[in-house]
Amino acid sequence: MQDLEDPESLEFTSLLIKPQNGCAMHLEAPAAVLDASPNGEALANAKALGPADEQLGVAQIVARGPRGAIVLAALSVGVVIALWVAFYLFVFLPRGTIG
Amino acid sequence: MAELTQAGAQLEAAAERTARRVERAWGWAMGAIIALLLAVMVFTTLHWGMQPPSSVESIDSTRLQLGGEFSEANLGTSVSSNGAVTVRVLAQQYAFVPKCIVVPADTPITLRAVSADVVHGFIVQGTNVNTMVVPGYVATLSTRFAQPGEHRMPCHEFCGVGHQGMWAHVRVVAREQFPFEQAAKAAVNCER
Repeated sequence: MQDLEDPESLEFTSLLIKPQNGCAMHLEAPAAVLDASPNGEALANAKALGPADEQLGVAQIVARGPRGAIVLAALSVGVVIALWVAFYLFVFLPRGTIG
Repeated sequence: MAELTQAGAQLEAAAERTARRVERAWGWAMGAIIALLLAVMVFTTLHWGMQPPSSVESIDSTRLQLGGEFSEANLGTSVSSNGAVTVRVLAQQYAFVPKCIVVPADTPITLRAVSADVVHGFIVQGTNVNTMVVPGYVATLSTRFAQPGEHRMPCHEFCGVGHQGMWAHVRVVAREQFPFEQAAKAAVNCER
């Protein structure tokens, strides 16, 4: 297991992503990061197989959808809306009405 | 290899379906948030009659002291024959007249403010009373002070070198302590 805090000890792993109808991308990341990611297992499987299977592994990950992005966006929007509601209920309304 | 290509194509199709589903769900979520915010605004407007302060009534700022509604004797809190409580305030560099406004608690109040010179700000701290006072216009808003208390009323629109010293106070007194009869005859403030 690599120590993520120590950049010297990190061993980088390369992945070539070639979507059928998109530009090929070269992804390079510390193996420990990939292994620790939610999709680490799929990547590890892909790495264990050949380059064609790597593509398949990446396609599997993409097919699951952008779960991290959804969680992050939902959390961010949730915080903003919660603050708005809190200000409305606990600051704006107690300060009285105007017309 | 052909099997792998086929599997890849299936996965790409699945990825597209997932993306469409996620985008549709996100669209609905954003639509729901917009609908919630609009519903709160409509409810606030209809239920409490809340709206931004009005400043559409015009007045000649150069002749305010010469008579009319904002002559010196009319500045302060007055009660009209139908019982409506109106506060008239003059903002000028660098003071509000009157310096201390007295109003009854738990009573509908109409605030009318004018400027004799430049743009001033009118805010009663701890309340939603907050408007600009633009020369040439009467800033009007209605409110109700729930509790007796003392509120500061600073000018919050930079109006010149003495801006930081432009303060007034709003003293909210219990209804039974407010001089309704006196205010029906002439405008009152903290001192008279």
